[in-house]
Amino acid sequence: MNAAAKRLRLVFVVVPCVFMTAMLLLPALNGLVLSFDRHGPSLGNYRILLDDSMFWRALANNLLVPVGSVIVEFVLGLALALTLTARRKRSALIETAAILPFAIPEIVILTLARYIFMPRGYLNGALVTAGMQALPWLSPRSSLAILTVIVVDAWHVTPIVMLMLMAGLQTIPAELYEAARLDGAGTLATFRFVTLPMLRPAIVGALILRGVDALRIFSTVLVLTGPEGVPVLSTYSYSLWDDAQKPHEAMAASMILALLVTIIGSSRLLFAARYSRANGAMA
Amino acid sequence: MHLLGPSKRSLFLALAVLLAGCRAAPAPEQLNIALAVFPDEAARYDRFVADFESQHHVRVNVLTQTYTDILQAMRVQAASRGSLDLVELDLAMLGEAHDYAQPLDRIVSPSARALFSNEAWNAATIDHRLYFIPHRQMWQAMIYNRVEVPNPPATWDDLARFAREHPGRLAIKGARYEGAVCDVMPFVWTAGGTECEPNSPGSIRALDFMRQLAPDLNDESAVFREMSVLEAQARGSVWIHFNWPFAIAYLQSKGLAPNVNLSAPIPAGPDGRATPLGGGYLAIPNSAPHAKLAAEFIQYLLTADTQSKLSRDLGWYGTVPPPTGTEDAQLYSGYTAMRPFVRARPTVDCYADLSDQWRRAIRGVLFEDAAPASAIAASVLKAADRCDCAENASGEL
Repeated sequence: MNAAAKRLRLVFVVVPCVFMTAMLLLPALNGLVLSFDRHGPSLGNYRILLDDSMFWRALANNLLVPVGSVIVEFVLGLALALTLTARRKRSALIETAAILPFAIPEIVILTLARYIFMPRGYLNGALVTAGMQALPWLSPRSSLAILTVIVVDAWHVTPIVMLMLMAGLQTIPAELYEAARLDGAGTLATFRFVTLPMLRPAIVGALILRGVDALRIFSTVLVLTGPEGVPVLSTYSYSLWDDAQKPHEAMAASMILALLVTIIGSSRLLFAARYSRANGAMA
Repeated sequence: MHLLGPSKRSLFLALAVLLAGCRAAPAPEQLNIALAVFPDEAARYDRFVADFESQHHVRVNVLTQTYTDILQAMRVQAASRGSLDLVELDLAMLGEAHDYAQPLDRIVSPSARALFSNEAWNAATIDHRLYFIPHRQMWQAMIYNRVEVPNPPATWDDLARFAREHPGRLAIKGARYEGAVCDVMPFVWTAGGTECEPNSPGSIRALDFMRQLAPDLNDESAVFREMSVLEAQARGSVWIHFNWPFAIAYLQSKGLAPNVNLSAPIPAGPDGRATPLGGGYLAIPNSAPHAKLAAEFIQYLLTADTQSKLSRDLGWYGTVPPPTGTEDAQLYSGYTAMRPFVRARPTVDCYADLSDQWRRAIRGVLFEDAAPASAIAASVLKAADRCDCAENASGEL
């Protein structure tokens, strides 16, 4: 390798490293230091959080909402992927419609969702017109509000799961389906013994990606219910910073969220690595 | 031998003269003002400052930010250099922000002081020094749906009766933010309590009254803020709430005031009426690059003519009420009626902490059915002790 190539390689390594240090590492370290600073080094900020009932609600919701959201996304995404892949004649219109919720800017789709689910929104309008009773879809602290948040979050992100699963479905050789058909396998048996096992790498990838991403839920909750309606750790931290003017406590809440994402994300990655090794050994 | 012929020399001479003539005039000084205004207000403010720009040959650059971001920018500017010359801050932030602001006693004349109430100046005075200038004084009033509520509640009893008879139609801004304090504190004050004496009989009595209202409040009160409660009022799901003057301007812009909604005084309590002083205060940051120019701008603002222009151009009626007989006079009648009852929250360093604890107590009483005394004991008492705000609250000059 000549000197110019070495210099170029050095630039390609140094520039991203400097960028990552300046934009990611230093702010994160600063945040960590702030979270332990309460007129000097202290655990005081964390202790205050533990005494706040809203923190515990935020923590619980931060586990409940992502789990619910990922389940809904996975079921819907898989159903859509199977439907769209099974069609003999592909329709650009239907595929575009399926991807649309992901293509629309988040704030637009969330504002739309708010108009749909608000007390005098479109959904309640439709229910009342149909002779049914209006429901408090976004009523603060209600289970229905949590369910609404899960549905809206899933609605927005289902297309990405669908696309990942569609990519996986398209890698399954047609001969396997043909062989299953010749062996007399029905639709369900084909799905269970051919599609699902062959799709497993794509499913694992989609669940890991969305599973980690869903933990960082923020704007869906903020727009639909405000920081107090269905609090999660990110909105709780935002509210501490913006409303309560308590940056140190806000940083402590953010650090707890970061820890949660790191632990759950790492365990999922560990699971994925084990799964790949096991599959490799089988192969 | 000449390098250039006479015609070329003339040409170059003409070009040189032309270039000298075209040389850019020295850039006018720029005054950077950070304001927490809505985009349409910023556009009107730009037009409002045109007079000052032409009089002083400067350019005024209005930067719109939230109060929180402005305070953060001020903190950063205090630790290093920055470009902000003048900043607008929320009243609730003055206690903390005075560390980063220049004293302004010398630039405020006695005639300028007459423009705003003593209450407004006292809130801007810390340790007997003036650090802030009232920019747009405002206060809350009751917004009511005049179609559904022809006779708005005038007393606590009326309000309690309204809530009972129309469940869900009365709303409080109960999100865990300063708005909750602004909605509840008038009740505390008019019962004889204060934020600095949370366990006084008056404070407990006011929270008892709020607890009485709680079951009939609109469901979304726990998350309502200024804009969301206003949206609910505009949609007709809320008939009564308390808000700042911009609310009535918003309803008017939607064609929903004065024909559907109007303002009225906040219902009177045992000790009469009260409303929280709010709005923006101006400060010159410690390291403002154009502090002298900023001071001149403040002096420009603090004249009767400029204040009239502010009310006319921006609809900010803090100093000059709307002319009688106009539609604005009808729209803002509730605000005008509350003018003598404006009261400031304490300007103390620890206000953010004290207020946060009050919010928790208020939410405990309103949404968790906590007894006022225990809700206060659980949070506000310690904060009030830490703060010692009865002693440290802003003093008069």
